Amino acid sequence: MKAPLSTLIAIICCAVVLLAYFLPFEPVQNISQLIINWAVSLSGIAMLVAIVSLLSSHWQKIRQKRSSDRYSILVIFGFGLTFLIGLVFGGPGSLDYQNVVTHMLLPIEAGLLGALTIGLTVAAFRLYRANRGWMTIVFGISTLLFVLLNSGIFTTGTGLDIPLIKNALGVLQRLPDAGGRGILLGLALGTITAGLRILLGIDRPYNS
Amino acid sequence: MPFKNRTGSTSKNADSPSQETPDWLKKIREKSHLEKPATPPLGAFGEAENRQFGETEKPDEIPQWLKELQKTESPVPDEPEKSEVDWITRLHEILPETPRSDSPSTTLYSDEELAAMAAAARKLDEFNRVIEEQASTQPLGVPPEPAPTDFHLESSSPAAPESPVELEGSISSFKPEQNQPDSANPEDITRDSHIEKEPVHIELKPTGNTEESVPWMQTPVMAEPEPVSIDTTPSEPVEPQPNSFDISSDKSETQSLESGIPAEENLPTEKKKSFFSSLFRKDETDSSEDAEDEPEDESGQNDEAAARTEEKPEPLIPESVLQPQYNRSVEYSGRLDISESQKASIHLLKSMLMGEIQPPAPTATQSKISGRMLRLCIGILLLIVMLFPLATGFMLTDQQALFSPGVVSMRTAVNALPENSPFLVITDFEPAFAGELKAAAIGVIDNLMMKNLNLSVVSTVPTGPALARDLITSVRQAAFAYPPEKISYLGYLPGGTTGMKDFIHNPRQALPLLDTGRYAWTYPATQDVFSINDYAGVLIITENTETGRAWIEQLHGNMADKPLLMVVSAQSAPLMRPYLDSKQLNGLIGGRVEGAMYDRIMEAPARSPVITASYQAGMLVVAVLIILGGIFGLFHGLFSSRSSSSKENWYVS
Repeated sequence: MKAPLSTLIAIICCAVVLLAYFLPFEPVQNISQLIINWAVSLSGIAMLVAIVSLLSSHWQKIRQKRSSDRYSILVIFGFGLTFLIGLVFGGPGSLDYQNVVTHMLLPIEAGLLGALTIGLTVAAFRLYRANRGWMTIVFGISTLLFVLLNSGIFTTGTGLDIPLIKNALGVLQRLPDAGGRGILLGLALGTITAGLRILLGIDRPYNS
Repeated sequence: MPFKNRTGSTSKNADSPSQETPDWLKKIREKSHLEKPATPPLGAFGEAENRQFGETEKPDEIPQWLKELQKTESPVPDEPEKSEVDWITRLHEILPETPRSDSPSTTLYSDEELAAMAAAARKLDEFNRVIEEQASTQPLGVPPEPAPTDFHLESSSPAAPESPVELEGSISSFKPEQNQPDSANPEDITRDSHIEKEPVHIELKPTGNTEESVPWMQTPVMAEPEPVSIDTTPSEPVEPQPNSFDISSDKSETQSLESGIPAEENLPTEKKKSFFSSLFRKDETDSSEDAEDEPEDESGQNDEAAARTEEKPEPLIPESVLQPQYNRSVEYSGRLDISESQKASIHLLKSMLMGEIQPPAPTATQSKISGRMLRLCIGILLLIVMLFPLATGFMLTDQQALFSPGVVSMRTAVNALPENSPFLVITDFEPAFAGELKAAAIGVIDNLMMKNLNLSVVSTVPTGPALARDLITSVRQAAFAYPPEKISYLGYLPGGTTGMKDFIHNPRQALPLLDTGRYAWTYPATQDVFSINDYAGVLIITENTETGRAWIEQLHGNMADKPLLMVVSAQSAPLMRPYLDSKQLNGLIGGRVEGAMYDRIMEAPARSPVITASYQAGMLVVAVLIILGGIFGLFHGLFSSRSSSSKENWYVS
């Protein structure tokens, strides 16, 4: 076994935190809380390391003699500007920092989402030219149905207080829930499996 | 290693003139006419000739095994795989030097496999069994031996004899197989007794040295390395010819053989060894292709074989006779011992691989409208349609008339909250979804403010605190703004799910400061909070399903009888509704439309109705484009399939 000490530490930490969910004893709770606090602090440090790594990689791209990445300059410039605003103008709680977020980040990300909307619409328009199977037809019909349902057109008006219409709309709204429930069950089972594998030392992502 | 020659099945070509045959070979043939063949010849597919051992064959009569060959000349067997299986199972009989298996494969056979092998053995016809009894083959219990990739004469002396006298000595020193295992099988006993009757045996052992072959002994089929073939039927009709050549003869015959060798062809013994190795040349060539143990010998052998072919194109041993016997090892090496179940698995795997439905390649769309132009047109259309309500105030629909269960539950839960109590608001959404979630959550936030709740705002997204400020300040502005002392912005909570767990366990320790740097828990909005249970309820605003799920799972067991509310984007709502159904959530609003439902159910005036109208107009245009694209694609497919029927793309995936 590679790195048995780290594996042993990981298993013990997992077991203590898991036991704290089931055992109301004060020592177990305190140890679990201590381990969680360490994990939160380490995650903050990990984010700092990730930021340094990001900056260094973009700096390397800028310094490349061949095919220098000009967009990396924008990344470093944007990071420096945001960092200065947050550091100089009062931190995340300041109005200036809020303006950076709401007047720069928000329009940019919303614009990207709008471009994605146009791209998806074009893809839906050309869907049947590229692929004309039965599943494509079902997919197209379901997409059309839920686009219309989520637009709220069918739930407006004054003549909708009919049990048949309400029940039909309720059933249609429930259709995606069935798929969502299946996904959640799969996620839960996968999470349990992953936790058990780490708890038993089968998976050791900390060794990689 | 002793080897009892099975090449008695070889026969000379009847069309070949006798003057081209060496004298010593003529004598062998004449001798073999008068004597019983020591080993019955092998017929097609490695099966022995249906002739009783001991019968004298008439010279002019076509041998039975050749008749069998003629019968099976052109038609392919109905079940070639079965014949291959029979050949494989009898490989150790056809080629006695063939190892049964280097690995203890028989010990790994299951009972079903053994039963299948026994059943296959029982299906052998009568002549096959008779020949098996008469053939001087190695018994089944022979221990693993080297693969029959090549053979050469092995003398008893360390050095190979160089003269005919030495050859005589070496041949006379051949002894019956000594290391045959004891076997209680009567067949083995019969074989052993038969072997003892034979005075002379030729020991052959595998070797990789094939450069010393006698040129005039080569046959085209042996000299030309042919590609791997599993065709077991003779490609050419076999002429009637007597069974004239038999290596396994008695000592007197060996003497006559020695005396009959011409002086100019009285080659060294090592070259005579190559005669026997040449009989297996084809097999050895194919086997060595897999092994590639001696590439130099291989290349040299091929060149030499090609030269010999040019010199002596006339085959002494018909190709049609040798091919069925020795070409079969091309497909399955002698080292393999494949059972019926393994073959079935092979065929199953092959059929799975071959029969797998390949994903259809997308149809190459050749449109007069380029993709960029289409994107531009659709983008412009969407912009125009969505800007029209904003510019003109056109209302596409009325207010919401039906309400989803989550909205009704939300209203019930918010109305049940006690006034002036601490309340936790979690804003875990990215700036890209701020527009949708702001419209969805603004009614709930306003309703919470109506209750004069002391709000604590926290986020696990770095941009969350700023977006939370923007959301809360946009609810009430200017003079109607919510008192700042009623809201505490706890800021960014690092650590993901671990941070959630830490905050739920001890909020004061997890986030001791506000995002402004002040101590958080002396602030009026939070001074009464010591644990998570001191909050009257929690509202989670997120577009991320994973984040929402994590908060629900962490909070549900720690907040007893406290409402857990959630505002999510429309894309995440289907994954959150199961929590609402299971009462882990006490209220759910999914997207802008349900936010408008909440406003309507609270009897509040519609917030930004023109934006809602713009949103609905855009959704309608998208739906119309999907319909138009579908119709156009279907008709395009129909016409294109009529024009080019070969490119049918209608499939069921």
